[in-house]
Amino acid sequence: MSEKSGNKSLGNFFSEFSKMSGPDKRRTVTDVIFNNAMYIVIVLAIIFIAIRVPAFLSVSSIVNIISLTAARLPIALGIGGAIVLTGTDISAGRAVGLTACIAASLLQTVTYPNKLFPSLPTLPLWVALLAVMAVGAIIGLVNGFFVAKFKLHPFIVTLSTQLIIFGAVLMYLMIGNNNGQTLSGLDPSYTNFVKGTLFKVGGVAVPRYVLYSLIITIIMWVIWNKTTFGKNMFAVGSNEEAANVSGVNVFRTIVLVFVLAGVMYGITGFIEGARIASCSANTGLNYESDAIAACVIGGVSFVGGTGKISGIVIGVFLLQIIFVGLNFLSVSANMLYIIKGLIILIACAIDMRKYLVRK
Amino acid sequence: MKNQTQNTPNKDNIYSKVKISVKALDLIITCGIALLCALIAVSVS
Repeated sequence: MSEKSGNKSLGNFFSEFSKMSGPDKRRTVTDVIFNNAMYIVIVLAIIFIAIRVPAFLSVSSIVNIISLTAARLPIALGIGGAIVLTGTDISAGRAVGLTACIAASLLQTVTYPNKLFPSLPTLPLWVALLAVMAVGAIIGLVNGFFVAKFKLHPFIVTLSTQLIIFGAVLMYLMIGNNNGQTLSGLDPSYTNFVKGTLFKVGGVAVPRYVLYSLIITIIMWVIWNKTTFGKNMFAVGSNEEAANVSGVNVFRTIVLVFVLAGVMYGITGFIEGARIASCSANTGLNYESDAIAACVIGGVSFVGGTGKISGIVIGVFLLQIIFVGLNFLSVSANMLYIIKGLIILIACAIDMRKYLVRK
Repeated sequence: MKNQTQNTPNKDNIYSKVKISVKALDLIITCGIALLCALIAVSVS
Protein backbone atom coordinates (compact mmCIF):
# COMPACT_ATOMS: atom_id res chain seq x y z
CA MET A 1 0.00 0.00 0.00
CA SER A 2 2.74 2.43 1.03
CA GLU A 3 4.79 1.44 -2.01
CA LYS A 4 1.79 2.20 -4.25
CA SER A 5 1.29 5.58 -2.62
CA GLY A 6 5.04 6.18 -2.91
CA ASN A 7 4.93 5.48 -6.66
CA LYS A 8 1.86 7.69 -6.97
CA SER A 9 3.52 10.59 -5.18
CA LEU A 10 6.65 10.12 -7.28
CA GLY A 11 4.45 10.15 -10.39
CA ASN A 12 2.74 13.33 -9.16
CA PHE A 13 6.13 14.91 -8.53
CA PHE A 14 7.29 14.22 -12.08
CA SER A 15 4.00 15.40 -13.65
CA GLU A 16 4.18 18.63 -11.60
CA PHE A 17 7.85 19.00 -12.41
CA SER A 18 7.18 18.79 -16.17
CA LYS A 19 4.61 21.62 -15.85
CA MET A 20 7.06 23.94 -14.02
CA SER A 21 8.74 26.96 -15.60
CA GLY A 22 12.51 27.03 -16.11
CA PRO A 23 13.53 28.83 -12.85
CA ASP A 24 11.13 26.67 -10.80
CA LYS A 25 12.61 23.53 -12.31
CA ARG A 26 16.10 24.74 -11.48
CA ARG A 27 15.10 25.52 -7.90
CA THR A 28 13.39 22.15 -7.48
CA VAL A 29 16.44 20.29 -8.79
CA THR A 30 18.71 22.34 -6.47
CA ASP A 31 16.44 21.56 -3.50
CA VAL A 32 16.40 17.83 -4.27
CA ILE A 33 20.20 17.74 -4.66
CA PHE A 34 20.95 19.73 -1.50
CA ASN A 35 18.31 18.03 0.65
CA ASN A 36 19.73 14.63 -0.29
CA ALA A 37 23.36 15.75 -0.50
CA MET A 38 24.50 13.42 2.28
CA TYR A 39 22.92 10.35 0.65
CA ILE A 40 24.43 11.30 -2.72
CA VAL A 41 27.91 11.74 -1.21
CA ILE A 42 27.66 8.44 0.67
CA VAL A 43 26.50 6.52 -2.43
CA LEU A 44 29.35 8.07 -4.46
CA ALA A 45 31.77 7.15 -1.66
CA ILE A 46 30.52 3.54 -1.69
CA ILE A 47 31.03 3.35 -5.47
CA PHE A 48 34.52 4.85 -5.12
CA ILE A 49 35.51 2.45 -2.34
CA ALA A 50 34.05 -0.55 -4.20
CA ILE A 51 36.07 0.31 -7.32
CA ARG A 52 39.28 0.86 -5.33
CA VAL A 53 38.89 -2.14 -3.01
CA PRO A 54 36.56 -4.75 -4.59
CA ALA A 55 36.63 -6.82 -1.35
CA PHE A 56 34.45 -4.10 0.19
CA LEU A 57 31.42 -5.63 -1.53
CA SER A 58 32.29 -9.23 -0.56
CA VAL A 59 29.77 -11.26 1.44
CA SER A 60 31.87 -11.17 4.61
CA SER A 61 32.20 -7.39 4.39
CA ILE A 62 28.46 -6.89 3.86
CA VAL A 63 27.64 -9.25 6.76
CA ASN A 64 30.13 -7.30 8.89
CA ILE A 65 28.41 -4.00 7.99
CA ILE A 66 24.97 -5.47 8.78
CA SER A 67 26.24 -6.85 12.11
CA LEU A 68 27.76 -3.50 13.10
CA THR A 69 24.51 -1.78 12.11
CA ALA A 70 22.52 -4.20 14.24
CA ALA A 71 24.83 -3.62 17.22
CA ARG A 72 24.51 0.18 17.02
CA LEU A 73 20.83 0.36 16.08
CA PRO A 74 19.18 0.20 19.54
CA ILE A 75 21.21 3.15 20.91
CA ALA A 76 20.35 5.22 17.83
CA LEU A 77 16.66 4.35 18.19
CA GLY A 78 16.82 5.54 21.80
CA ILE A 79 18.59 8.82 21.01
CA GLY A 80 16.20 9.36 18.08
CA GLY A 81 13.34 9.85 20.55
CA ALA A 82 15.31 12.47 22.47
CA ILE A 83 16.11 14.32 19.21
CA VAL A 84 12.43 14.27 18.18
CA LEU A 85 11.82 16.23 21.42
CA THR A 86 14.37 18.83 20.15
CA GLY A 87 16.83 17.43 22.68
CA THR A 88 19.74 15.05 22.64
CA ASP A 89 21.38 12.52 24.94
CA ILE A 90 25.13 12.56 25.28
CA SER A 91 25.10 10.17 28.25
CA ALA A 92 24.11 7.32 25.92
CA GLY A 93 27.63 6.00 25.25
CA ARG A 94 28.56 5.92 28.92
CA ALA A 95 25.21 4.30 29.76
CA VAL A 96 26.03 1.57 27.23
CA GLY A 97 29.46 1.20 28.86
CA LEU A 98 27.99 0.86 32.35
CA THR A 99 25.30 -1.62 31.31
CA ALA A 100 27.84 -3.63 29.28
CA CYS A 101 30.11 -3.86 32.35
CA ILE A 102 27.15 -4.86 34.56
CA ALA A 103 26.00 -7.53 32.10
CA ALA A 104 29.55 -8.87 31.75
CA SER A 105 30.14 -8.94 35.51
CA LEU A 106 26.86 -10.79 36.16
CA LEU A 107 27.56 -13.33 33.45
CA GLN A 108 31.19 -14.31 33.98
CA THR A 109 32.00 -18.02 34.16
CA VAL A 110 32.11 -19.41 37.69
CA THR A 111 35.61 -20.80 37.17
CA TYR A 112 37.11 -17.55 35.86
CA PRO A 113 39.95 -16.57 38.25
CA ASN A 114 39.43 -12.77 38.04
CA LYS A 115 35.65 -12.93 38.48
CA LEU A 116 34.30 -9.58 39.73
CA PHE A 117 31.82 -11.29 42.09
CA PRO A 118 33.55 -14.62 42.96
CA SER A 119 30.65 -15.98 45.02
CA LEU A 120 28.00 -15.18 42.40
CA PRO A 121 26.58 -18.26 40.64
CA THR A 122 25.85 -18.20 36.90
CA LEU A 123 22.71 -16.13 36.60
CA PRO A 124 19.96 -16.82 34.05
CA LEU A 125 20.37 -14.54 31.03
CA TRP A 126 17.00 -12.90 31.49
CA VAL A 127 17.97 -11.75 35.00
CA ALA A 128 21.04 -9.95 33.67
CA LEU A 129 19.06 -8.54 30.74
CA LEU A 130 16.35 -7.21 33.07
CA ALA A 131 19.01 -5.80 35.39
CA VAL A 132 20.74 -3.80 32.62
CA MET A 133 17.40 -2.65 31.21
CA ALA A 134 16.45 -1.46 34.70
CA VAL A 135 19.77 0.38 35.12
CA GLY A 136 19.28 2.00 31.72
CA ALA A 137 15.71 2.94 32.63
CA ILE A 138 16.88 4.58 35.88
CA ILE A 139 19.47 6.62 33.96
CA GLY A 140 16.75 7.64 31.50
CA LEU A 141 14.39 8.46 34.38
CA VAL A 142 16.94 10.83 35.92
CA ASN A 143 17.61 12.49 32.55
CA GLY A 144 13.92 12.77 31.73
CA PHE A 145 12.93 14.04 35.17
CA PHE A 146 15.42 16.92 35.12
CA VAL A 147 14.57 17.83 31.53
CA ALA A 148 10.80 17.70 32.03
CA LYS A 149 10.51 19.06 35.56
CA PHE A 150 13.06 21.88 35.54
CA LYS A 151 12.95 22.62 31.78
CA LEU A 152 16.73 22.20 31.63
CA HIS A 153 18.30 21.67 28.25
CA PRO A 154 18.87 17.93 27.66
CA PHE A 155 22.47 18.67 26.65
CA ILE A 156 23.48 19.92 30.09
CA VAL A 157 21.46 17.29 31.96
CA THR A 158 22.91 14.42 29.96
CA LEU A 159 26.41 15.94 30.19
CA SER A 160 26.08 15.73 33.97
CA THR A 161 24.75 12.18 33.92
CA GLN A 162 27.49 11.22 31.46
CA LEU A 163 30.13 12.23 34.00
CA ILE A 164 28.26 10.57 36.87
CA ILE A 165 27.92 7.32 34.91
CA PHE A 166 31.60 7.36 33.94
CA GLY A 167 32.53 7.76 37.59
CA ALA A 168 30.17 4.91 38.46
CA VAL A 169 31.76 2.64 35.81
CA LEU A 170 35.25 3.36 37.13
CA MET A 171 34.14 2.61 40.70
CA TYR A 172 32.28 -0.51 39.58
CA LEU A 173 35.44 -1.86 37.95
CA MET A 174 37.34 -1.30 41.21
CA ILE A 175 35.07 -3.66 43.18
CA GLY A 176 36.85 -6.49 45.01
CA ASN A 177 40.26 -7.35 43.62
CA ASN A 178 39.46 -6.33 40.06
CA ASN A 179 41.44 -3.07 40.34
CA GLY A 180 39.95 -1.55 37.17
CA GLN A 181 40.82 -4.48 34.89
CA THR A 182 38.70 -5.36 31.88
CA LEU A 183 35.85 -7.81 32.43
CA SER A 184 36.22 -10.98 30.39
CA GLY A 185 35.77 -14.72 30.86
CA LEU A 186 32.10 -14.53 29.93
CA ASP A 187 29.78 -17.49 30.29
CA PRO A 188 29.40 -19.34 26.95
CA SER A 189 25.61 -19.25 27.27
CA TYR A 190 25.78 -15.43 27.19
CA THR A 191 28.16 -15.16 24.23
CA ASN A 192 26.24 -17.85 22.34
CA PHE A 193 22.93 -16.11 23.00
CA VAL A 194 24.27 -12.88 21.50
CA LYS A 195 26.96 -13.94 19.04
CA GLY A 196 25.77 -17.42 18.10
CA THR A 197 25.07 -18.15 14.45
CA LEU A 198 21.60 -17.19 13.28
CA PHE A 199 22.18 -18.49 9.76
CA LYS A 200 24.95 -18.51 7.20
CA VAL A 201 25.23 -16.51 3.99
CA GLY A 202 27.86 -17.85 1.60
CA GLY A 203 29.63 -19.53 4.49
CA VAL A 204 29.68 -16.35 6.60
CA ALA A 205 27.79 -16.54 9.89
CA VAL A 206 25.19 -13.88 10.65
CA PRO A 207 25.13 -13.35 14.43
CA ARG A 208 21.95 -13.68 16.49
CA TYR A 209 21.95 -10.08 17.64
CA VAL A 210 20.92 -9.07 14.11
CA LEU A 211 17.59 -10.77 14.82
CA TYR A 212 17.29 -9.10 18.24
CA SER A 213 17.99 -5.74 16.65
CA LEU A 214 15.31 -6.39 14.04
CA ILE A 215 12.78 -7.26 16.76
CA ILE A 216 13.69 -4.09 18.72
CA THR A 217 13.30 -2.00 15.56
CA ILE A 218 9.82 -3.42 14.94
CA ILE A 219 8.82 -2.78 18.57
CA MET A 220 10.11 0.80 18.35
CA TRP A 221 8.27 1.33 15.05
CA VAL A 222 5.02 0.22 16.71
CA ILE A 223 5.69 2.47 19.73
CA TRP A 224 6.46 5.51 17.57
CA ASN A 225 3.66 5.06 15.06
CA LYS A 226 0.83 3.06 16.58
CA THR A 227 0.61 4.18 20.19
CA THR A 228 -0.75 7.29 21.87
CA PHE A 229 2.64 7.75 23.52
CA GLY A 230 4.31 7.90 20.09
CA LYS A 231 1.82 10.44 18.79
CA ASN A 232 2.28 12.50 21.98
CA MET A 233 6.06 12.38 21.50
CA PHE A 234 5.78 13.91 18.01
CA ALA A 235 3.24 16.45 19.28
CA VAL A 236 5.54 17.54 22.14
CA GLY A 237 8.51 17.67 19.74
CA SER A 238 6.58 19.81 17.24
CA ASN A 239 5.21 22.29 19.71
CA GLU A 240 5.30 21.65 23.44
CA GLU A 241 2.84 24.39 24.37
CA ALA A 242 0.32 23.35 21.72
CA ALA A 243 0.61 19.75 22.90
CA ASN A 244 0.07 20.83 26.49
CA VAL A 245 -3.03 22.84 25.54
CA SER A 246 -4.32 19.83 23.59
CA GLY A 247 -4.25 17.75 26.76
CA VAL A 248 -0.98 15.89 26.26
CA ASN A 249 0.83 15.13 29.52
CA VAL A 250 4.12 16.74 28.48
CA PHE A 251 6.01 15.80 31.66
CA ARG A 252 5.10 12.12 31.39
CA THR A 253 5.83 12.02 27.67
CA ILE A 254 9.33 13.53 28.05
CA VAL A 255 10.18 11.24 30.98
CA LEU A 256 8.93 8.17 29.11
CA VAL A 257 10.95 9.06 25.99
CA PHE A 258 14.13 9.20 28.08
CA VAL A 259 13.24 6.03 30.00
CA LEU A 260 12.64 4.22 26.71
CA ALA A 261 15.99 5.54 25.46
CA GLY A 262 17.62 4.27 28.68
CA VAL A 263 16.12 0.81 28.14
CA MET A 264 17.58 0.86 24.61
CA TYR A 265 21.03 1.72 26.04
CA GLY A 266 20.65 -1.22 28.44
CA ILE A 267 19.89 -3.58 25.56
CA THR A 268 22.81 -2.15 23.55
CA GLY A 269 25.06 -2.67 26.59
CA PHE A 270 23.88 -6.28 26.92
CA ILE A 271 24.68 -6.93 23.26
CA GLU A 272 27.99 -5.03 23.34
CA GLY A 273 29.12 -6.85 26.49
CA ALA A 274 29.04 -10.19 24.68
CA ARG A 275 30.02 -8.82 21.28
CA ILE A 276 33.32 -7.29 22.38
CA ALA A 277 33.72 -9.91 25.17
CA SER A 278 36.07 -7.67 27.15
CA CYS A 279 34.42 -4.69 28.85
CA SER A 280 36.39 -1.80 30.27
CA ALA A 281 35.72 1.79 31.30
CA ASN A 282 36.20 2.80 27.66
CA THR A 283 33.37 0.59 26.41
CA GLY A 284 30.72 2.75 24.77
CA LEU A 285 33.04 5.72 24.34
CA ASN A 286 31.70 8.05 21.60
CA TYR A 287 28.82 5.73 20.74
CA GLU A 288 26.47 8.66 21.21
CA SER A 289 28.21 10.72 18.53
CA ASP A 290 27.76 7.90 16.01
CA ALA A 291 24.13 7.49 17.03
CA ILE A 292 23.39 11.24 16.80
CA ALA A 293 25.12 11.39 13.40
CA ALA A 294 23.06 8.41 12.21
CA CYS A 295 19.82 10.04 13.39
CA VAL A 296 20.60 13.36 11.68
CA ILE A 297 21.61 11.60 8.45
CA GLY A 298 18.40 9.58 8.70
CA GLY A 299 16.26 12.71 8.79
CA VAL A 300 15.48 13.00 12.50
CA SER A 301 15.40 16.76 12.71
CA PHE A 302 16.75 18.85 15.59
CA VAL A 303 13.83 21.19 14.85
CA GLY A 304 11.74 18.56 16.59
CA GLY A 305 8.64 16.56 15.77
CA THR A 306 10.11 14.97 12.66
CA GLY A 307 11.71 11.58 12.25
CA LYS A 308 11.17 8.03 11.10
CA ILE A 309 12.40 4.70 12.39
CA SER A 310 13.25 3.71 8.81
CA GLY A 311 15.34 6.89 8.52
CA ILE A 312 17.32 5.97 11.64
CA VAL A 313 17.93 2.43 10.32
CA ILE A 314 19.17 3.88 7.01
CA GLY A 315 21.28 6.45 8.86
CA VAL A 316 23.02 3.83 11.02
CA PHE A 317 23.53 1.57 8.00
CA LEU A 318 25.03 4.33 5.82
CA LEU A 319 27.29 5.51 8.61
CA GLN A 320 28.61 1.98 9.21
CA ILE A 321 29.16 1.54 5.45
CA ILE A 322 31.26 4.72 5.45
CA PHE A 323 33.28 3.67 8.52
CA VAL A 324 33.92 0.16 7.22
CA GLY A 325 34.70 1.56 3.77
CA LEU A 326 37.20 4.05 5.18
CA ASN A 327 38.84 1.20 7.09
CA PHE A 328 39.12 -0.68 3.79
CA LEU A 329 40.86 2.41 2.37
CA SER A 330 43.23 2.32 5.38
CA VAL A 331 42.19 5.82 6.48
CA SER A 332 43.78 6.50 9.87
CA ALA A 333 41.63 6.35 12.99
CA ASN A 334 42.56 9.96 13.76
CA MET A 335 41.19 11.15 10.45
CA LEU A 336 37.99 9.15 11.07
CA TYR A 337 37.11 11.48 13.97
CA ILE A 338 37.46 14.53 11.72
CA ILE A 339 35.34 12.89 9.03
CA LYS A 340 32.67 11.92 11.59
CA GLY A 341 32.52 15.48 12.89
CA LEU A 342 32.24 16.88 9.38
CA ILE A 343 29.45 14.44 8.52
CA ILE A 344 27.46 15.60 11.58
CA LEU A 345 28.01 19.28 10.70
CA ILE A 346 26.98 18.83 7.08
CA ALA A 347 23.94 16.75 8.08
CA CYS A 348 22.87 19.49 10.53
CA ALA A 349 23.32 22.16 7.84
CA ILE A 350 21.16 20.12 5.46
CA ASP A 351 18.55 19.69 8.22
CA MET A 352 18.55 23.45 8.79
CA ARG A 353 18.26 24.12 5.06
CA LYS A 354 15.21 21.86 4.82
CA TYR A 355 13.62 23.78 7.69
CA LEU A 356 14.34 27.19 6.12
CA VAL A 357 13.01 26.13 2.70
CA ARG A 358 9.84 24.77 4.35
CA LYS A 359 9.40 28.05 6.21
CA MET B 1 2.36 7.61 9.22
CA LYS B 2 1.07 11.17 9.29
CA ASN B 3 2.30 11.70 12.80
CA GLN B 4 5.87 11.20 11.67
CA THR B 5 5.91 14.17 9.39
CA GLN B 6 3.64 16.58 11.21
CA ASN B 7 5.23 19.94 10.85
CA THR B 8 3.21 22.21 13.05
CA PRO B 9 5.06 25.54 12.87
CA ASN B 10 6.92 25.92 16.10
CA LYS B 11 7.78 29.54 16.69
CA ASP B 12 9.99 28.73 19.63
CA ASN B 13 12.10 26.06 18.03
CA ILE B 14 15.86 26.27 17.92
CA TYR B 15 16.14 27.56 14.38
CA SER B 16 13.47 30.26 14.60
CA LYS B 17 15.94 33.01 15.44
CA VAL B 18 18.51 32.00 12.85
CA LYS B 19 19.17 34.81 10.39
CA ILE B 20 20.73 33.01 7.47
CA SER B 21 19.77 32.63 3.85
CA VAL B 22 19.33 29.36 2.04
CA LYS B 23 22.05 30.41 -0.39
CA ALA B 24 24.55 30.84 2.44
CA LEU B 25 23.63 27.38 3.74
CA ASP B 26 24.07 25.94 0.24
CA LEU B 27 27.56 27.41 0.21
CA ILE B 28 28.33 25.94 3.64
CA ILE B 29 27.04 22.50 2.62
CA THR B 30 29.01 22.59 -0.67
CA CYS B 31 32.20 23.66 1.09
CA GLY B 32 31.67 21.02 3.79
CA ILE B 33 31.21 18.24 1.25
CA ALA B 34 34.23 19.46 -0.75
CA LEU B 35 36.31 19.43 2.44
CA LEU B 36 35.04 15.93 3.29
CA CYS B 37 35.96 14.62 -0.16
CA ALA B 38 39.36 16.33 0.00
CA LEU B 39 40.09 14.78 3.41
CA ILE B 40 39.18 11.31 2.15
CA ALA B 41 41.27 11.83 -0.99
CA VAL B 42 44.27 13.01 1.04
CA SER B 43 43.93 10.07 3.46
CA VAL B 44 43.76 7.55 0.64
CA SER B 45 46.66 8.89 -1.42
